[in-house]
Amino acid sequence: MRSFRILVVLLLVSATAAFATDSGKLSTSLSFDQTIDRVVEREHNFVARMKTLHPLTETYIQNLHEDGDHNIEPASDQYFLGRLDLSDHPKDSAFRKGHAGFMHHLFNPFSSALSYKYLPRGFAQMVILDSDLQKSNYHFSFVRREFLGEARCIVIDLQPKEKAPKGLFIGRIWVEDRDYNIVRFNGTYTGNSHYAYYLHFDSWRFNLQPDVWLPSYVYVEESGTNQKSTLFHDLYLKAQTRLWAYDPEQLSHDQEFTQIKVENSVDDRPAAKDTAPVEAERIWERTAEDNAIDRLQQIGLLAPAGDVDKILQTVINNLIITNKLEIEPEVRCRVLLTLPIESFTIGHTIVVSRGLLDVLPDESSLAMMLAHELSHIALGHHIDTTLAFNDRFFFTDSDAFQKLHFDRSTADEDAADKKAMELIANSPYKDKLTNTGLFLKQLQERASELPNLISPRLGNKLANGSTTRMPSLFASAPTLEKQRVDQIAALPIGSRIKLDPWSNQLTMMNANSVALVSPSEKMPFEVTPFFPYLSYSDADKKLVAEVPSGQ
Amino acid sequence: MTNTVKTTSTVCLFVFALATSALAQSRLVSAPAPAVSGPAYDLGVGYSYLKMSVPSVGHASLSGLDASGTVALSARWGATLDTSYLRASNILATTHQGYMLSVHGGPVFYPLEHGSSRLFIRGLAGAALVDGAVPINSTQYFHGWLLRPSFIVGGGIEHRLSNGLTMRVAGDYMRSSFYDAKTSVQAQNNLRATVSFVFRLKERQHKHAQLW
Repeated sequence: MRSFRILVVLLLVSATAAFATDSGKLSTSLSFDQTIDRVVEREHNFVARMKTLHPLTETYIQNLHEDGDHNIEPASDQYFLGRLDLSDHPKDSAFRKGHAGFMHHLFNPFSSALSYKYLPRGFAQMVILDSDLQKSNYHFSFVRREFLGEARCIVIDLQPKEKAPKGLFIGRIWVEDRDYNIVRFNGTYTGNSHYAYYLHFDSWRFNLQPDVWLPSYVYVEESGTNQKSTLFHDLYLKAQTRLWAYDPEQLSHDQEFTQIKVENSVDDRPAAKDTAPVEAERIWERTAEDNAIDRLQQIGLLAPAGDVDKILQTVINNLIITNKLEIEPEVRCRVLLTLPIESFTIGHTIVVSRGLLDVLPDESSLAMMLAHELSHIALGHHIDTTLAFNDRFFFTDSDAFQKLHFDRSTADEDAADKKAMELIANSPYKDKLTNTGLFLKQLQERASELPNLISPRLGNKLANGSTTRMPSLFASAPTLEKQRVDQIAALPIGSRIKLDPWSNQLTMMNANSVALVSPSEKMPFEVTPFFPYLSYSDADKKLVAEVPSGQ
Repeated sequence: MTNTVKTTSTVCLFVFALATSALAQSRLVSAPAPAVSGPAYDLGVGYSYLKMSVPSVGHASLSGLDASGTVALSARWGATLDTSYLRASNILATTHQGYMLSVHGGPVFYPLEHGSSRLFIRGLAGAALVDGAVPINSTQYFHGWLLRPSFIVGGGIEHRLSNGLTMRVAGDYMRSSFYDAKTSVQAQNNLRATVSFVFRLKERQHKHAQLW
């Protein structure tokens, strides 16, 4: 009996010690009131930091409607891309495809008289809980502890006090209990005016640098009444905001300058030093290509070379080898970080948008997209070599979509479609094209409702209401059956690619495959909520590991 | 006439002072930027009282129905169409009944919004049809009607009673035209007070769960 008691005591002691170690360097000895003080202090630091950072901010909104059978589908969409500026006097830094005309400026102030007008700054605002969080303005109420990924969080409800000013956050916050950073908040702001409204949102922050949690995802949803009269209908929407390109080093080459180390400036290669005209032409084209890629990457629109490129390169190699193509210089693949579905070539570099990679149902569909772009290269469709002159890139970041164009003529597109069918016919993908045709059908079906998702910013359109890329594949595809759970024509947005908001590096998502239980879960091209796995940055993990046990 | 100008000046000064104060406050408050704006339409129906000047004779009191429609163009600006039918059964003891039918349209500015209330200032232009009588001497008068351009400058306050229903109190200076005793057309300086109920046709309700 005695030995049993000793055993129980030992177990209790060891369990307590284990819990203390697990709590990290700051054990949970703070009272709730002290915890709130820490949270407020950290949030003030966060707001100050955010005013100095200017990440790219992309918002995609889908307006929804519900039909008589209670199927909810997108009815229209909106897209904004800009550089976040939370300073007191923000500049307009929206990336626009074309210049707004005189009539737009004339009638723009009246546009919201007839329909809801989405304000990009209002969506970007949702990364900030409260620009001046004051403990005295809120009731704080402890809810529970909860893990979000590997971050153990204290969950707290916030409600503004009755006499607090308008525009305060109301909802729930998740505070990681190591350093008391807010890592998630879910709610809205109080105090709609007669004319302007706040929406409900779920805002997530990632630990992108040691001890630095920064906004990465915001999910917005409103589901009001859905009356048929346009005069009385309410907001009914889902939206995603993503932020990336936080790292200021990505935006300038100053760092590279300090890293240049020239050991020997003499070219002692034994080969011929002169350049043949053909070689000079290739170098000239490659220079134009590299200039464009470099500028896009510098702006934060193009991901640095990485793992996802290698996957694309594997598919391209499959096509090149099986078709015995000889292409000089070699074909490269890169990923455009934006959502709109597009692919294009810059010289011998194939660029595919993140949005396109996200929604493609399988590798064969990816191969079809890449085969089309590879065909442009194989057919010798040239790059605009004026891009070899560097002054072409002296423009502000937000003018990128106006200054850079990589779209092809209709004749070139048709020729590439034809050639792509030949390439696919000789490839390992030739017998797996059913989903590819279905993808094109789904794309065409949604083209009129989702013009902003399907409109390219730099390349050619994949589909419109009447035709798609590679029409022969489209024609041979089976009928699109919405009710068939096993027929997946396109995936929801955000299904495949994970973006590191600090470095812009892309990786494939590591999600469990989920069996669909109803047709409504297919959600092709649709916006869904975020539920990321939060983890501490590697440096922070090391910090914890170095804390001696017992402290 | 002097009294009318004095009253109008006082009203204008009061509204200007409120607007200045409101604009100054709006710079101090840094509320989050809204994500959605518009559309917001409203229809108002109410009672109006008009103190109408009859050139070179005196004043007549008219009252009646006022109806207006407003569409919001931005957080601070809107456009409104206002129409009213006001009448009096006995104009200046002439035993002749008179009325004024007016239609005006123009911009509305909302300088201050606080809680459920907001101030507005408006300047409207349109036309007024005045039907009235002017005494010539103690036993004779002539009557007639005149349709001429007219304008309104004024402001007021709106207070939200519930989602979709608002009460509006407005005070306006209205410039219209009518004949004087010599049958020449003269400007009229009128003051109008209106109390109306405003029905918001397309207003989004703010829904959030109460935590306690």
